[in-house]
Amino acid sequence: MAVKKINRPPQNWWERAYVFEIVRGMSITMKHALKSWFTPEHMPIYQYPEERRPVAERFRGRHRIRRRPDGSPTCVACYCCQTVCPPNAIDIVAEECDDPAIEKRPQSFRINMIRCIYCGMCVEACPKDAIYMSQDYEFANQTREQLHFELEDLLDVEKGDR
Amino acid sequence: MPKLTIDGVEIEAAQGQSVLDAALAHGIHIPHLCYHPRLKVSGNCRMCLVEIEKAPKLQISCGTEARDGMVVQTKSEKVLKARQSVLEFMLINHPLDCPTCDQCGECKLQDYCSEHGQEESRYGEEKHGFDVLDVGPDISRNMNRCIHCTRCIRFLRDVAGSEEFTLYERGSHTTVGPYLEKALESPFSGNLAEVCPVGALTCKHFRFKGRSWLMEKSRTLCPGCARGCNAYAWTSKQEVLRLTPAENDFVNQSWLCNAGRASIAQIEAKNRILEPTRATAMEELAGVLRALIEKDEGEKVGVLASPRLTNEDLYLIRKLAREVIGTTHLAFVPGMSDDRPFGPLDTPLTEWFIRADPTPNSHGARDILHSTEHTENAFDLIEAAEKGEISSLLVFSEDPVTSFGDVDRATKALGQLDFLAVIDSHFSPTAELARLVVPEASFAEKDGTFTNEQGRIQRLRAAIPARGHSQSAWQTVTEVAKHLGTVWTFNSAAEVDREIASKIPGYQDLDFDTLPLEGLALVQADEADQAEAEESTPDQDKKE
Repeated sequence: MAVKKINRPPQNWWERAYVFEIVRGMSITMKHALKSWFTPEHMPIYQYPEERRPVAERFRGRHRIRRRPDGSPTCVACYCCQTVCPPNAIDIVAEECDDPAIEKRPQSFRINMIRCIYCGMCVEACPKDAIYMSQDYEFANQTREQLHFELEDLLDVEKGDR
Repeated sequence: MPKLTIDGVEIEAAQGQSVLDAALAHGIHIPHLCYHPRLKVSGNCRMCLVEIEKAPKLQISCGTEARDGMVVQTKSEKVLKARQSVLEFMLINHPLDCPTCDQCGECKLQDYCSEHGQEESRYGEEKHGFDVLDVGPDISRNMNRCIHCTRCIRFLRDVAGSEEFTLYERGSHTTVGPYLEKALESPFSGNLAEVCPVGALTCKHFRFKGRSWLMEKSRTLCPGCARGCNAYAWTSKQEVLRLTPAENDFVNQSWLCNAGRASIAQIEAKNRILEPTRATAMEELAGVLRALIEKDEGEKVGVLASPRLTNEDLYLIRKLAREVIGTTHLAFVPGMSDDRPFGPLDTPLTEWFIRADPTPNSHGARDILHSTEHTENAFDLIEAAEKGEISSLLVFSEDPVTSFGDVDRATKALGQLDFLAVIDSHFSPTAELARLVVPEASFAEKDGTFTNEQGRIQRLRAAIPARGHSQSAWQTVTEVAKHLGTVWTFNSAAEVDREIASKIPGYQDLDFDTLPLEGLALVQADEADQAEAEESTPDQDKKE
């Protein structure tokens, strides 16, 4: 393997002692420490679990499926989101719905949240405007299985939840 | 032969051919909905309007005969505007429920609307809806989606031979449905799902099982009868979801009967055999045979093959029986003969379509098994077992206990045997008696060829991997033969076919990989029979 030798300019004893550099670095640290001490409101810091950072209006967090007024999912299992999903994270099984006006509903609707790349294509593709991405990003979990979200995990907690 | 110009291209049409037919034959696509190449022309959808020079108005190309010197425009502004208007009218009462509709992705109305339609409707009134009506166990009808093209009515009346559907009511209430709201009875009603260009008539068995664009289709054969209909097996996640007809002018045109469509149920049937009786079943089977061969009692082994097996399976079964075991007790249950003409005919499907023989490969079994000097039918084999002429029996995909007719007598005869092995895909009364059961792949899981009643060799393609530990009979036979010390080197059905082509009269042109889509007609079976009778095939050495 070829090694290229670089001839650095030799340092004198003052430079080798690093005293000036240490003082310079510490002064920057102290400046910020004192600033946060006296004017904490100007610091870009959130006290995370108690204090949450505001997210953008169009933030793409965990998916939610809207409910009809009677509480059933708006989704008609058309497989459009499954088709368009780039990492194949969505898996749907359709079934007959008792209501002839609705005809079809999802028997199971599963999103693999680890596989999901949060691109929002499923929302774009949905012809019924059933799926949307909420601003919730806190769904870390212990196992992979728990991150396979089923229909019950995805349905709106209550009507109009966002 | 009239010569006409379509879109500036001069083409030659056949005498009496319509402009639409001529255009389609020359690769010019004119949108059409009510026109179907195998149905009578009705000309009611107005989708195929074209501009013909010197004609006062736009003409329907499906109902206009191609004449010499015609100048036809299919993409002029006037035509495109007319198409757009036709589609706008069709969508007035159409529910636009593509997300729920099973036809989505295969729907002509959907395709044409995205290609030629306009984005917004100018119709502001409420759409007219219809009541739900159950039209039988095979087809589900959704009248809201209907465009009144009458293809279904014409199919049932002119092709299926049962006039069950008609148009009633008027205007936006026009309904296509059965007389007196009776359920469909035609054994060909399943075809309505393909005949209907929109989602008004869809297959009930396939309802909501999958989306057309998410499935893969492989061209295979229907195993339901001796016709050997060409079919597409649509699969998703290694499951066959439906069987739809594939075009073959010589065999099934574009139709498939309801029973044929239902044959996919056998793949997931509850009584499917998926595992052998024991993991060492093959060694055990080979051990029993080896002991008999060494005692020079190969003649005491009976082998019962089935016309449900492919030519490749049958050939290797014959090879095992004749050359390795050395028995003449090789038989199969012959299918019923059918004296009706094979067709395809212009008469109703009920008169010729479904064959009396319910097995797909009786012709192949006759060609391959009867080309040895001595074979008998299954009933002789039961009698041989009664007389003690055979002491062991290998049964391939057959159920002699049931097919013999006398269950008690057959059960007793088989009970006298020292050894009974059944190689089958489904449990049967015979399999219950067997000492060894080896799983066999179903029709959707194996590669091979069937020879239909007419003597046409057609290709069966595996649509899904074999379930459990099942495999094709030729693989099972090869494995057993290897345990018996042969040096058979068959690794695929194509390799077996190469040997069939050289050994079986009539099959000399068979080449697995280049078998045409429409199948290969056998080399004159009669001549081949004679040639075979003259040429006595000497017994080859046991164990090649």
